[in-house]
Amino acid sequence: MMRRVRGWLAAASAALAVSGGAAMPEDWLQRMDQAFRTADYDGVFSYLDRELSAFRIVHKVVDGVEHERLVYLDGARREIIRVGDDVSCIAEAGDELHAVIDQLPDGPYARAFSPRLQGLGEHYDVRLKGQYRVAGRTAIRLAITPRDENRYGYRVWLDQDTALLLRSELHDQAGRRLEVFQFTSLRTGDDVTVADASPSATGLVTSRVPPAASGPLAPPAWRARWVPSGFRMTDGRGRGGATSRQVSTLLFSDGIATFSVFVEAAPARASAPATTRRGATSLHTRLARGPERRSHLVTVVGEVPAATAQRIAEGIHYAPEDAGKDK
Amino acid sequence: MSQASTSDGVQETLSAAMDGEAMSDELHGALDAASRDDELRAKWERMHLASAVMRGALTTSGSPPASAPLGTKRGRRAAKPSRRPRLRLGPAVAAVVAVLAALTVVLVADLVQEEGSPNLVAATAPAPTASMPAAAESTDVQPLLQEVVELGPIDRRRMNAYMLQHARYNAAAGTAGIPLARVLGDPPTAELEEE
Repeated sequence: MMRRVRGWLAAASAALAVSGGAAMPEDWLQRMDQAFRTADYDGVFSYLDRELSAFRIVHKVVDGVEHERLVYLDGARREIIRVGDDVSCIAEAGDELHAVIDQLPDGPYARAFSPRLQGLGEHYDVRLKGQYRVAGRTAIRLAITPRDENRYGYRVWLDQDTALLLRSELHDQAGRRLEVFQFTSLRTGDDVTVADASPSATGLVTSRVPPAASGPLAPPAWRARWVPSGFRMTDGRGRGGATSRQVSTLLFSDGIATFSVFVEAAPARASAPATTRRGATSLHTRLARGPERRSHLVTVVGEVPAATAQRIAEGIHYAPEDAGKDK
Repeated sequence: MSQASTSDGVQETLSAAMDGEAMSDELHGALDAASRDDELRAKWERMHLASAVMRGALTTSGSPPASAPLGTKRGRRAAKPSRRPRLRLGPAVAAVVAVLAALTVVLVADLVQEEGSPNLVAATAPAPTASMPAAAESTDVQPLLQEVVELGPIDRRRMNAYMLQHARYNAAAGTAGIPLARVLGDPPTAELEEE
């Protein structure tokens, strides 16, 4: 019943948006964000940055609990299964995916971004750009254009019926596509069953993501002298992270784009300064003086232009007296 | 269906794609087939080459690209006189055929912003109607940016670890969940080795 109501609301909202033009582009973004968590869908999507990768994604909500399954269709056999907050991966015994299991992000896995709409218009121009057809479905196209040079632009195509993201492109300032995400086939609604969201691979090994550490985190002692306007720190922690070393981390977002800052004691061998990019994700590293004037490796990673990542990294400094402040 | 007719079908799909069709399930299958067939892959590359020439998107390394910074491999390479013009293909080709390593170094100056870029909107002025080109209407959009220099294995592992962690924090914070594909499209790398 809930599903029917949800479907009716979605259809009514879509009809309103298309026929009357009453819905704002921001409404579509909000619906998109909700759709990834509330809709039932089963589709194949491609992701193109430097390489083309194909995945099957199944999302089914049962009694309010999300069941999600991501299947790698290229390369090694891998599946990532999420039921509520429990995440596990299924892969060959020697697959490196098992080693990074505790670093896997939570779902929904087909979500390109989760917009924070408040203040979005100050930094992006968001416009409806008509209807198109993607993956055999009618899509509403939105253009999200940055108002300055410190962020990228997006083109998104949302399913008219469900508001699911059917296609997205991320463009740099020169209009070059940095990445493309697109469903090539998609089923939605009651046709999607919980069995579709259950693992099918046999003869593989399952690893489970350990529960996140609880308890208060130390505020980071590293601060940013400069971040682009509109970016706010959404998370910061004094230690822990992707490696066994102690890493201070800061996460910033402007509502669409994000970047993370990692600081750790400089390893014996490190290429710094260096700038790297993969698809839309830029990464810049540099060395900075930390506690007791020891050398530390500062790394900025995010969906921002490389020059912006570099400028942010250059402003990261050790300031324990400011720990706990907003920036 | 014979292998020849399958190949013909794939070629037709690729050709249609080059004529401006957006990605479709047919194209997806064709790209997959092309990535496994040397002959098809070569044709796909030639199609892109022809398309790039028609768009004027192809450059040679005879003169340093404006975006090539000094002090980098690319910059140094670009600054040297080239014995013969070297074609730089659009990255879509690479995206289809690439099976090489995960992370690539690009040049900071490659992305230094140009003032008045048509892909920005003024903070105060109304947005222009023609800003960023979109897929459905954009033969002028160059596909995917690629300028690469290999990183060493330790740095590559470190970068992969940071990218994974960035994705995880994004999701945990609920601010922006980037697709898992962004970080796991290539084989993920385990925790850094102690050096």
